[in-house]
Amino acid sequence: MFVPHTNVQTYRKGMGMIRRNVLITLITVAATSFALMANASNPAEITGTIEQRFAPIHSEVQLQDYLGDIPATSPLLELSDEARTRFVSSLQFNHAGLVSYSFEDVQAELTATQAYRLLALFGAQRTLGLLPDLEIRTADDERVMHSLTPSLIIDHPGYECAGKSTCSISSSRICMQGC
Amino acid sequence: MNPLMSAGLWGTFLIAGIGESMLPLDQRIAGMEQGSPYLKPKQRLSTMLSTYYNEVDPGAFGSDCAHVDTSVLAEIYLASAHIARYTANEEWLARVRCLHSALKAKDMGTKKGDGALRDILIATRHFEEADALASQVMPFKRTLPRILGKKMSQQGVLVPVSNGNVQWTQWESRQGWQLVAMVHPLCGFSRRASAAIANQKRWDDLRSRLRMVVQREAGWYGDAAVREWNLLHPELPIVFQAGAQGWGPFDAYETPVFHILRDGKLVRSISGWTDDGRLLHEAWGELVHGD
Repeated sequence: MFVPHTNVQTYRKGMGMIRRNVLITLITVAATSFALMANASNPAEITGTIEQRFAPIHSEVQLQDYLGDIPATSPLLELSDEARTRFVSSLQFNHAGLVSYSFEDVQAELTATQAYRLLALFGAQRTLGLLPDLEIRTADDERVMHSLTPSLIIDHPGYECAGKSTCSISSSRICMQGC
Repeated sequence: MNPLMSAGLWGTFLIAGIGESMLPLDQRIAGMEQGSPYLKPKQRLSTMLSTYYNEVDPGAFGSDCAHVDTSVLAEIYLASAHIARYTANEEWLARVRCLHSALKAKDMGTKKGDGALRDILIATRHFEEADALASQVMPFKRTLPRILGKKMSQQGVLVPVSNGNVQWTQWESRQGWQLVAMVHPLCGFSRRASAAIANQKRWDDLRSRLRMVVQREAGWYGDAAVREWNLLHPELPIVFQAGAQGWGPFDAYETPVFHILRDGKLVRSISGWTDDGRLLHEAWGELVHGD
């Protein structure tokens, strides 16, 4: 028989590792974002959607400004503290706006309506249709999901916008148009 | 202690000895993906497989997962499903199916677990079964295309045809220098590469020896974009990989990747699209023209 190998002590050690990883990820995200911006220096290559480009948050700088003075009604606050940290650290931007994010915590903690409000901050609400496990609890959740255009798939779930000019497999992320 | 886990536990204790975690296996496997952004996806997969096989001996449960201990069944299932997203082959599908059945038998099934199985069914091109599963548990899933003439035992591609269907077609090796580009229509770097090669004069020599392929993945994405591309560029169509058979050397888990082949044998692979394909252009010139 298999032997269970989890307990509280090791779990805490694990959370410590996650926190360290989040810090490392934050640093690498900043570096990657810079690389992506440099890579998108040709205006003809900037292909993000209008929603992304004119979203309330469409750059790393705007994200930091927002986080520095986060509104009490912000949909980001619907996520638990740890999930919010992970979600924020997963965000990648270039000149087109948001190009990658992790949907794992969005799916795990938010309803369809909450997720819509959160992703609308980045102009990424259209990607909701790509998240199969979102919770549908209310009539609004149903409406949100039905409002998404089924044929409009321009983003790539299961991949992320990687630094060295590739889109790379990453099971809980979405590589968005504009990458 | 079960021999299935004992070797892995010792291995993990060695890691724990330097102060690291003992999170459930599935979380550690997922963490390797997110926590190692500078590893190439193939290297990441290697690390995941090493961790997995340190703790799980799949030979011990074979085709019967009912005896897998309930306390670790879910994490082994999710860990297996995670790796199966990369390997996308029949061997890993069988493992995921077996563990999924055990979860269901023990009334431990979840929406996430069902979704994971569906993803692997898509990656391995069992579209009808994936649709059947989705119709039971996922109200917002789209129907997958029909695969006409499927032969799992041979290396093949899926060619978009009429009525939204795809036609299984045998992949033929070609003589001389060839280029197989692993691209994805939803990847900006791939789109820019495809457009440049299709339209720019500097790629004239290479274009006639290029074939573009979408790697199988845990989802059916990009069908509409591929069809649109193929309408505009009938001389340079994009096709989807069929099963895993024969595709091992081409699996890169990132796009675009350009495989340069001679007489069907892989000579060099170039990842990414920087400086308008400079690396590819140089490699092609050096290998094919001796530049």
